[in-house]
Amino acid sequence: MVRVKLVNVTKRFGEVVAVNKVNFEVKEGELFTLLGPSGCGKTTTLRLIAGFYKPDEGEIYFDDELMNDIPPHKRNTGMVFQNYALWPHMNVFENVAYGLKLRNMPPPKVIKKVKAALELVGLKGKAQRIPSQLSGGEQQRVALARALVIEPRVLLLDEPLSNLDAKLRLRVRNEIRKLQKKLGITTIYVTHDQEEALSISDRIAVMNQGRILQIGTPEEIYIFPKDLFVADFIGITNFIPCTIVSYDESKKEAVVKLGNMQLKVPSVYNKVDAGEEALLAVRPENIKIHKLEEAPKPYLEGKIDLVTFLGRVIRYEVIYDNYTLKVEAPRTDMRSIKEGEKVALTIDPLAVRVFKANKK
Amino acid sequence: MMDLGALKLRLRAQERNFQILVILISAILITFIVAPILSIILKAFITEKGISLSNFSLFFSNSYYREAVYSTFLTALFTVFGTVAIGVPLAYIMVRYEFPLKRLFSILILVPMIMPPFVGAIGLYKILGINGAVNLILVNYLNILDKPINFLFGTIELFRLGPYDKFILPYGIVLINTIHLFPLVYLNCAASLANIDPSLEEQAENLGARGFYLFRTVTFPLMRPGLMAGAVLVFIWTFSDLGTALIVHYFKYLPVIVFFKLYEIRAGNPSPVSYVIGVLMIITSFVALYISRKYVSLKRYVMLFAGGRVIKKVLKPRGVKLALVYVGLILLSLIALSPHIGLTLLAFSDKWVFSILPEGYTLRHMNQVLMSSLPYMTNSILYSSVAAVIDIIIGGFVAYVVTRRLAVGGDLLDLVATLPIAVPGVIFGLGYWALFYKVPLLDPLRYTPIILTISYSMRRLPYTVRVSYAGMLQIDEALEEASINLGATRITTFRKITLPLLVMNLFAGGIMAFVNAMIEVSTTFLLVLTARSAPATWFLYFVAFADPRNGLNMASAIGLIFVIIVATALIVVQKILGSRMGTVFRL
Ligand SMILES: Nc1ncnc2c1ncn2[C@@H]1O[C@H](COP(=O)(O)OP(=O)(O)O)[C@@H](O)[C@H]1O
Ligand SMILES: [Mg+2]
Repeated sequence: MVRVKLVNVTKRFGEVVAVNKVNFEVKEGELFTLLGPSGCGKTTTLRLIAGFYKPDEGEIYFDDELMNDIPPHKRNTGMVFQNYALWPHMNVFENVAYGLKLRNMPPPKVIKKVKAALELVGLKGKAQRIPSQLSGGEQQRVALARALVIEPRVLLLDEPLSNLDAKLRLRVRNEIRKLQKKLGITTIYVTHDQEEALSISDRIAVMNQGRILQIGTPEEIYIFPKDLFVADFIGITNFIPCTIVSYDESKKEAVVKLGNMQLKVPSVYNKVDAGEEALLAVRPENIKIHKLEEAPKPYLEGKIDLVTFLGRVIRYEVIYDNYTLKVEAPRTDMRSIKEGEKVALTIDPLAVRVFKANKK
Repeated sequence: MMDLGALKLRLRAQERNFQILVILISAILITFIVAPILSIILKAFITEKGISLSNFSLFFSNSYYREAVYSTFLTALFTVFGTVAIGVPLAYIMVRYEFPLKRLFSILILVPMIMPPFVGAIGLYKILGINGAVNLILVNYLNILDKPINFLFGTIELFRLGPYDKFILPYGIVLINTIHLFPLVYLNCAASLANIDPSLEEQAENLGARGFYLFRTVTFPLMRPGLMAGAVLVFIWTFSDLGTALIVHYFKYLPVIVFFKLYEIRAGNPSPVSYVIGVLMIITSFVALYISRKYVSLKRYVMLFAGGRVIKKVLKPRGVKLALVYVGLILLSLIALSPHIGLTLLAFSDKWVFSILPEGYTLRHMNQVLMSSLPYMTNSILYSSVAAVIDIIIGGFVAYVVTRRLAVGGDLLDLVATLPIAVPGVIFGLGYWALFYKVPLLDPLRYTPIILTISYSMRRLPYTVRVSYAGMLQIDEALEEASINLGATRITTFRKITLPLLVMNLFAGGIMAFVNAMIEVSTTFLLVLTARSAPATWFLYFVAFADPRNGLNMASAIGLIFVIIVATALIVVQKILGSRMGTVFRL
């Protein structure tokens, strides 16, 4: 198990800068996720770590060992490709044993290890199957077993769940998490699914256009997005234009004006000036809907456009000043609020973020 | 408003016509592809005593025939070795490496395909023959050998079974066919190789494999479907190749025996030997085809999932590696071009006896054959183009019916229509004699042009079926359904929607059929017995040996005209199909 460190790593494909000055350090035994939209450079970063590409600039370290010039077959990383890359001409056993044979392990030991690995991923008794006889979930496990059996220094997973159906995805996700913790193996996990990232990771790096925008625990990323893009990409966020009344740079605190409300907002990392137009970001669960006559003042007045029953929660779309805001309330909170009705909205200032508007 | 009842009736009538068409085409294919094969089998097994193996025991009790069987097998096998030894590394280099002049080489190495090997053999006379350039260089200039090697006519006894059974390898035939056929292995392997998902190899690398180990354990097994397809095509081709064996005067060869036995059929007393040989060939081809199909089914699950970016692995060799690549490719191109070079020189050489290059040049031979070969050339073009038109019609129709699942037994139709890829030309020739001798309008003796055209069209049908099949897969079925939904019948829909989209593919397939009908040797030699209405391949062979002084020169001149026609046609196909050209050479 190692620490993996990337220092100012850049990779270009012609004009495209696929990975742009990326820095991060993955701790021993940590599950670290690269999260971002398709084409943002996640796979490229992973392939840089596996050694399939050489960085144009920067350094990659496993512990304190510089890896830049080490070819992929000598890095001892275990990669699980997005399409699993199972060899169709080998059965499950041969697939898993491949890496061990390369390590000149005596056959009895190979058999023992492969057996153990298959058992670990719940594929006992399927050793003689060929890949096309396996379901998607099983194929995924073979790929995982094949990567794990060589006891790699780092486990690299490229969108490992993207070829599974929704139900299976949830289950396998939890299994991967448990397995990773049990083995304590340093893991870098790539996904474009923010929910997946939030649920599985120790820490997440959010990427966009080759850059890392924020690194943090799932809570930090969700509650304190440092960046407009991060706020937008993670979960659902309402963005409403507001005006800065004052900004205290030492406390990173701003007072903003929204309609007739003034909110004192903490954790404003962008420097903003008084009088400036900014964007206020607030998640649906942090807006409250009140009947007009019961509303605590001050509030924003809006009109219910759509009510959607989602099971656990009710989603409202509320029109406020030409903006459609998404609001979520627990089902128990259900009062007879109807479409077309005028309502009052209040916002918890502690759950609000403010970003400079020109960034979008 | 139209009367709905009347419309329904009309549609039903059209559907019925369509089904009749399906039956008609099936009947044609059965008559001219399946029935000849069956008739050979029947005639081999049916004797005066009823169904028996006595013909076979008669055949195998003769050591001459036994040795012919060994020779033919050995020749085919060694040709497969030769073509694989060239084709596999070539495919790897051409698919994986990127280097200057790659495009040029990719054209040069396909040049052997544009002439029948027996024409190539004539071209090689003065290069690899006993007095050819290579021997002159090796013996007289470099003094490496003290005696010339008979590259073309030579044979070698590999081993002996008992007192009589010699296993003789006519390595001249192996050499000529290897030069001619290695592109088949190359193209099939290259296609397989290009289809390998790069992550399969990267995964191996990730787990610690590299270099030859990686190639042996992952890359090579994954390209085996293509390799098997190519090898099978080469095997079947060599096994049934009449022309080359005739040219190098090697007669202990199964197709040659069939050829020389033809007069017995005409005398009304056919010897069963031909039919026994026919059965051996049929069994061999089908076994070979079956083996390769097993590997093709393996190919189906190579790409289980889409997902992720497919990053093609392209390597840029440098230094010694690059130099080796160039040396190899230049050598190979020279070998590939040597029949053509020899042919061209021969066609224009005045005197060329004991020298590396001709001592003088002349247009005499060309002038002579331009006139004398004209009727034969005309015959060739006529038969081949009619055959190509038939192929376009049937091939397009079959592909349409099969891809759109319009008839019961469509898959069977497809199987029969593509069967000729694996059925040797000798079988067609022999089968047509067995079935149509003395049949009005089809008798090979009296209606040579008709039966020859039919044999060409059946032999080359797979080309148009394949190409239109590939084309149909690219046409969204919804386009047709939209038309039918608006009230058009199937036939109108096919004419108005499908055909315009398919026309280029059909045309390309037609040209491929035309080209290959032009260079068809086996069926030609079997079905044409007199100069009357003979095509140019026949005339070329006749000329080569009729005139002991200038025969080779004139044959070369005819060969050259051939090559030019064929090359032109192929360039047209390449322009139309582009990178999809490979589909027409595959199993
Ligand atoms: N081999 C390559 N050649 C050229 N461009 C590439 C290559 N691989 C990736 N790219 C480009 O780099 C960017 C990042 O790609 P990738 O790392 O695959 O993104 P992700 O995995 O986040 O979807 C994209 O713009 C993509 O087009
Ligand atoms: Mg990716």
